[in-house]
Amino acid sequence: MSPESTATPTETSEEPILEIRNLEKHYVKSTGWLESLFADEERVRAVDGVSLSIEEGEIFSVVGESGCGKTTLGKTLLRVIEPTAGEIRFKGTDLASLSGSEMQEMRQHLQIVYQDPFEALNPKRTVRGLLRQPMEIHGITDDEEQDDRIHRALEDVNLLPAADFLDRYPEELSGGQLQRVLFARALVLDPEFIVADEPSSMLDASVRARVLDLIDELREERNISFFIITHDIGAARYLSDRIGVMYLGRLVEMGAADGIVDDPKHPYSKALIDSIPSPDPREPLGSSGIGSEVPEPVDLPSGCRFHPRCPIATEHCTEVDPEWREVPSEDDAVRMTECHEVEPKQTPSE
Amino acid sequence: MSTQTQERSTDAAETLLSVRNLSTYYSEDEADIPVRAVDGVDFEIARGETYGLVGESGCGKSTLGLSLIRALPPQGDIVEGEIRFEGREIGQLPKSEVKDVQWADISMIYQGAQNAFNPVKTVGAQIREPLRVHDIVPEDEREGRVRELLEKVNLQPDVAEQYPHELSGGMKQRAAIAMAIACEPDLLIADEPTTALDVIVQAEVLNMLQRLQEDLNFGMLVISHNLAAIMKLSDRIGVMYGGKIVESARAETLYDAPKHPYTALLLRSLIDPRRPPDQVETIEGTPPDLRDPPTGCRFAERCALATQECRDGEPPLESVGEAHETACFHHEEVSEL
Repeated sequence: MSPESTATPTETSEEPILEIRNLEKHYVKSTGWLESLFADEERVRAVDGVSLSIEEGEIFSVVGESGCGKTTLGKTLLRVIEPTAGEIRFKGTDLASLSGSEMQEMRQHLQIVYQDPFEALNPKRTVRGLLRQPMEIHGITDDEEQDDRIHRALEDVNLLPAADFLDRYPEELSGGQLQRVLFARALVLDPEFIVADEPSSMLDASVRARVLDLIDELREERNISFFIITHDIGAARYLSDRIGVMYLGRLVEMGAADGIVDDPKHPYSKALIDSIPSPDPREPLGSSGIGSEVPEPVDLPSGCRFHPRCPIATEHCTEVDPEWREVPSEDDAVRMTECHEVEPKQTPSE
Repeated sequence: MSTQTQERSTDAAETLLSVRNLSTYYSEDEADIPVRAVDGVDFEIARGETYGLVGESGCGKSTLGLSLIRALPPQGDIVEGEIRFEGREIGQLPKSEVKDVQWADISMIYQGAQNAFNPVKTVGAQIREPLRVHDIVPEDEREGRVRELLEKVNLQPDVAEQYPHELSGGMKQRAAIAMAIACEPDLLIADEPTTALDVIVQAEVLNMLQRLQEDLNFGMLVISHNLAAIMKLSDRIGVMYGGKIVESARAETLYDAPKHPYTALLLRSLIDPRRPPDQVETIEGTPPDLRDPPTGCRFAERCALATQECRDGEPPLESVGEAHETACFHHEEVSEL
């Protein structure tokens, strides 16, 4: 690429909607006082240096096992929990530099939708009450304005006719409908960016595809960018432009959604994909081949953090932490991974 | 494996479980209009066979499982039909005798079993409980038996001394499996054994169930909305819709040539990561209200093939091929859907 082309106006206007650099969230593990006198405190590295950027209108999914840090990453990038280190830029503004009240103001644009609709919704409130609540918090108190936003949100999540749902309680709705109410609750604030934690994992196959289609419609109609947290790789591929694979607090691979699933480079991505059963009864049951026990991100292994479970690890992998670098891939998209065993992409100038 | 099943299921003497015209309703009180969760179901499971039950939430599949092991909540009642287990009718057994059947003859991995452990008792104490109730193993050998069971599900024997909160979700699910096989049951019911587990643990649990079944030769009823998992584990599959089994066939037959429109749509709604996303179709509409189900076919409202005939009368479950039954007036048109 020539230097001129990088400076064209189209390139500069395509500033990512959200950009994070070396984001970290470490917790101090609580130990007894006596222990703490003699030992260094144990740090849980839930998110341990993640960098990525999400384009406007993009759907990005992060996949990985429970405990890989994906939910913590989702919460940290909206400052629902405070990062330990690193930078988060939303449309150029450094979120970490905002004061509490400025962040509160900003939060309207950045919404999070939690995974379990049965837990996330107060059973004693009607749909109308549930949708009003976030607006009250953000000072949208005009009745007409509220009604208008509620109707628009319910229409956008296909709970139609909206008037039929306003006075219903959560227990009167199906799982799929509750999931839609959760999305409507975020939409009343007219957000630009939504983090959705396992939006489809609690749902039946038949309803699952419809909820995923809804996310795509919201992107089209409202130009909302999405960060999806899921262990459901099928859903991630169905829905996303790009997928990031996370392991013990770090991204180990990132690229175009189809490419990651069809041609994974990192052994951990391969293990995740191999463990998904194909529906064809003649094919054998899949297996990850790496065991199912995820180590706690406390005493991280030396070298590559995946090496103790990795089927292709060498001596080198136990000593040297691999670098996050671009690797060649069959699709034209940028593929990043950190693995010593994957040859880096050759840059033409070298 | 399926050819074996075929031999087995044609041999009447080897029938392990036989369910005829079973109906289980839920109602809060006498005045309440009952929810017909299971509404006239017939099927059987041969010894050592795996039967998969698939369908949407609310189709009655979990209620069917709970009916078989007689563990329905107080609002639920078997109102009609019979459940024969090794020839013995157990659907109407008095409560006092039900206990002899549970765990020892039929055991169940309940939905969300990994969260059902008592938090203040060790895992070992809880696995020991069915052994004690049924007095299958002498008291001084129970400890050793528990450790053996834990090894069978790939857990370290010293997990017996741990409390549930010390285990991961996948480890707890394996402990629940150990408990379910403790008394060497002839029928194991697994209700959503992989739901809420992540993919790697799911694969492990499925492989484990398959291996244990080969080792111990129990019959298995697997209940799940995870169609891919059901396809993999089962010899035969029953598709449930609106409280009824609408199609039943061997897994391969069902996968290749479904004869009920609902099964065909269910297969197409499956999001398989290896399949291009544009091939996924969704099923529009919602399942029927089981307090007041429609007169005719319960799927008619959502079905592209439905005609007046379907709305007027209920299609019976009929044979359409070898070990293949479907309840659809238009089953010959399903392949053209």
